[in-house]
Order: sequence, then structure tokens, then C-alpha cells
Amino acid sequence: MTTAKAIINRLATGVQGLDQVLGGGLPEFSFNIIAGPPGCGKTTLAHQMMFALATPERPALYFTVLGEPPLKMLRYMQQFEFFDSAQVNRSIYFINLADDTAAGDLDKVLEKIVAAVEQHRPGLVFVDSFRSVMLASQGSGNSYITLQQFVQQLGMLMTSWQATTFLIGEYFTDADPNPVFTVADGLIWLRQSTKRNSVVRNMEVMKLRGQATSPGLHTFRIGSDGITVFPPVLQSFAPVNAATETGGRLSIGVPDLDALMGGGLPRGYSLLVAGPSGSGKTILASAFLAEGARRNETGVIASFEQRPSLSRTPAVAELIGSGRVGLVDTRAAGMSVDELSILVIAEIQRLGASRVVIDSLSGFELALAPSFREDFRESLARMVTALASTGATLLMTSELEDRYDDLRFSPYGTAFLTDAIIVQRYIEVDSRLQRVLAVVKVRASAHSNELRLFHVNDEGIQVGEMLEGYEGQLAGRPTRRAGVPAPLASLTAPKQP
Amino acid sequence: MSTGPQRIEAVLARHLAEGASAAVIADAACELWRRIDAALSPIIGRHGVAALLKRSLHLTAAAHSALIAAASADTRPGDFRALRAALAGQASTEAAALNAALLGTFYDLLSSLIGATLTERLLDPVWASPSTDAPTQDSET
Repeated sequence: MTTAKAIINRLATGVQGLDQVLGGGLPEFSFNIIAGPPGCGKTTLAHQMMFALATPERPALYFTVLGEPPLKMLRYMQQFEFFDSAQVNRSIYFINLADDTAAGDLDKVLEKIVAAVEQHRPGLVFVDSFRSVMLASQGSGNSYITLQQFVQQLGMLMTSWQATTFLIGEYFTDADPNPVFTVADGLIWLRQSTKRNSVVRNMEVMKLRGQATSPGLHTFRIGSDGITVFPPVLQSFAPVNAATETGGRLSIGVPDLDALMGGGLPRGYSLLVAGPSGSGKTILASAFLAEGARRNETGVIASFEQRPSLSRTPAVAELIGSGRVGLVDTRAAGMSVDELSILVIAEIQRLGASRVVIDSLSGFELALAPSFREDFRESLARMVTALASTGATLLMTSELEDRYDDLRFSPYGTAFLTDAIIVQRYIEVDSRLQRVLAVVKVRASAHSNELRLFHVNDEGIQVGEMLEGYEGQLAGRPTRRAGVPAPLASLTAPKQP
Repeated sequence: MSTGPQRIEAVLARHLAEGASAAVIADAACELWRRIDAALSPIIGRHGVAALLKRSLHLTAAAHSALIAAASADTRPGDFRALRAALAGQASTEAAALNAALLGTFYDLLSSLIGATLTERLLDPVWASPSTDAPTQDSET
């Protein structure tokens, strides 16, 4: 007795990120529905998969029904890079069913499909749009079979002919108990959510028989190369740089600060640098990358400042120019945290980078589509974990409004997400605005608890002494304890700890 | 390499050189349009092909008044009788020139909509066997 089970081959869809969402690719010979409201990318998704999968040995049939006129569809679809005219009438055949569908005769439509399937023996079949088949059949009594029978027969026929099939349809609500959804093996729902003037495209695999899909909504983008889906980042990356596996600590580029951290930042840690505007966060981040370059390590920076060219220090600009630091393009409107994670990780892997800077979380939050801001904290936690799994050491800056009535180290309650925290603050001393910094946390490591004065000059951050003899510094206006002289002169000669 | 319309023109020129009448030229032209219909209608529908031909007739008639009647004729998709009548009513040289102009317009119109590469690709079966004397063949979709 044989116990061999049927083997389901999974096809690579050619849509970046989709195979992961589908749980490993598209099951061969499955009967699927791509649903969603108009303009959400159904036809684009179908074409992209078709051009990736069709070969002369496994041709595709694309039936156009009453929806978009085929001429227009061809006109617009060929704007995408995946559209290869040479495949048309060689491995891809477009077949128009409008005349038969208009009559509302489902038997005739099925007959036409069968004839074409018998002629071309396709491995892939697309029916676009299926909604119009349904409407046409409702509009007239010409049909001897019902829509459900039609779908069942079509499904049976296509499976027997070993064709992976897609019905593309306009549906406005997924609550519709449509019999078509029951028959289908796979149901891919595309949506667009609009909030204020931002539009975010989402994909959800609501059903796919026989495999575990990635649940929930996944954002996607449509560009000149078609659809790119941004699934949650898998946390199974092997560390990309052998150096990161050795453990130990790395210098963050300011020796005094390394000392305050107990001998540098442990490799693979995530560090949050929080402080008010202009306190020197970006300069610290630049020092971190420059120190890496000095030690022949590569880095990656994702900058979210409003004028990125200004926010980058000359040192970082030079590192980017020489290719030692990769710059992640963050200009796309309405980003999601998952999208940024994927872009940053791709860049880390490309360069084998061991240092990563995100400058700043506050700018990043503004760059996110409004609908993602509600989940910012959760998504950020996922991103930090994902980036940590690459083995790279992460430095994130965060704008921190100076409030002297409460002691906070980060906005959004993100402090717990990172392994280490450095806080910078302004204080008023003798009618001057001075800066202090402190290492608030280095997980599983001893570190200094000193509140140190610092200033920024052409060489970068210069850490000074503690402001001895003052108290109440975190309240912003420290007061000198009676009989203690002001130590501010020592700021110009930083103390070596 | 010559384009499809140029190859068709060459076929009609050969007919002319052989002293063909306007009626023969008109038949050859209609056979060509049937081939085009057969190649395109599975993809864009018979009404789609008919709409493109109608538009091409209107555009060409602006410079060739002999096509005005065919352009305004009320025809069903795949019915080329009005076009045949318009061509057959001319001298044979004029009939060949008219059809060449119409074909050029149709080709340009389709190219402007779906690009020259795809147009050439879809009309490939038409040019593949340009002998318009050949019996009608069902072209592959």
C-alpha cells in the first residue's frame, strides 16, 4: 500500500514579498479570487504574476470580460516593466469574452472558456473581471446554469486541466457571503485605506487552502516595476557580519561617552539617543558611523529630516559618497514601518553593514501614513527586533521635548524597546544655555550614572565634567549649592574619565 | 525590415502590376481586413475592432473623400461591404492607394493606443502570410 500524499508545488509569483505572505508561494492548480474595490491593483497583480509565471510550456490565458476594455488594459499594463510584449501570443493569450457575457449566457461563456482551454492547454487562467460575469448573469434569464454552478464547473474544469486559476472581481465588502468565495481555494483581498490625504494600499490573504499564510493586512506599493508587498520582517536573518558575532563592544565615536557606557556599546545592541532639537543627536549619530568607517565597518543610515541634505553632516555625506555608508531612500509618501524595516535590512545585507542609524524616530513618525501612527509603538518594537536579528548595532535618535516637570527619556514609551539610552538636555546655568547628557541605561552592563556637561565643536561632541555643586539640573534651572564655585570654565578642556 | 503595412502594400502593388481591376484590389483589401479582424477580435472583441476601423475610416476620409460613404455607413462588426464598395468604385491604382492610407491610419491608431511593439505582435498573423489571394484562415488567437 502506498502512502504517498499529493505534492503541492508552490509557484513563485514574481511579486516581491507576496510569496512570503502566501506562506511559501502560490499552490499549483489552485482556484483563486483576487477581490477588491476599483483601482486597488487587482489587474496589475494578475498581470504581474502572469508575466512572471507564463512560459510557452505553461502558457497563460487572460479572459477579459465586461470590465475594463482590453485595449485600455493593454495600454496601461504595458507601462509596467514586467509587461513583455514578446510573450503575447507566445506564452500569454488574451481572449475577449465581452460579446458572450453581454448576452448573459453563462453556458456560452463556459463553452468559450473550455474551447480556449482545450486549444491552448494553459497552465494559468485569469478571468477579469468576474464581477461583470455575475452582473450579466443576474441581468438576464438567458442562462440555464446558475452562477454557483458556473463557478463550480469552472473550478472543476480548471483543476482537471491542471490550470492555476484566478478570478478577478470587484467586491466592495468582504462581509458578502458570496458562494464564489466558498468554492475558491484562495482569496486575496486588496484594499485602499484613505486617511486625510494619504492613501495606503493593503493586501490580505483571507484564505488559502493547505498552507499557513501571513495573517493580517500587508501594505503594498505599486511602482514602475509593479507591486511590492511589505510583509512583516521575518526574524531569521543570520548575522550579516562575522564581526558582529564576536560580541564585545564597539566605540560609538566619542571616547568619553564610550567610557560612560562602561567601555563602549555592546555589539548588536540598540541605542536610543533622545534629546531636544539641536542638542547634537545627529552629530552623535555621524560620529557613530564615522567611527565604524574608521574601523573598516560599513553602515546604513535612514534619515527622515525635512531637508536630508542639510541634516547630514559632511562626514556622513562623504561616507555615503564613498559607498561605506548606505543611504535608505525614505522619500516615499505614506511609508509603513514594515516597509522601512525591509529597506533597511536589504541595505544591511547588501553592504554587510554592522552599524545602522535611524535619524530620527520623530521624523520617521511624520513620514508614516497617518493610519500607521496609531500602531507606531507596536511596529517600532517589531522593527527594532528585526533589525537586531541582523546582528547590526542600531542607533536611533528621538526628538524629546524638554519638559522640566517630568523625567522622560523617550516619546511613545519606546525606551523599553532599546538596550541602551543616552539622554541629552538643555539646562540654564548663569544665564547660558548649557547641554548635559547622561547614560540612562545599558542593558546587562555597568555604566556611569553621571550627568555630564558637553558641547559641540568642529571635532564633534566634547564631553565635559559633571556640573559639580549644582542641584536640580533635570529641572532645567540648577541652583548652585552655597559656597561652591562655578565649574563652567572646565568645559573647554574635556575631562578624560 | 519592412513593417506589416508596407508588406501589404507590396502585395497590392503586385496585383496592380499584374493589371488587376479595382474589384480584385477591393476583394484583396477586404480579405486583409478580415484577417485583421480575425487576429484582433479574440483579444479586443469584434466591437473593439469595428470601432478602430470606423475611427480609421473617419480619419482617412478627411483627406480621401472617396471613403466618406464607407465612414458613415451603418455596418455591423466584421462587415466590410461598404469599404469594398468604396474601393471597387475607384480606379485600381486609387483603390490600392486608399486602402494603403486606411491601413496606415489603422496601424498608427492602434500603435498610439497599445504601442508599436504590441501592435506588431498582435498583427503578426496578418502579415505572416501576406498573400491576400489565399483563402481565409482562422488565425490563432
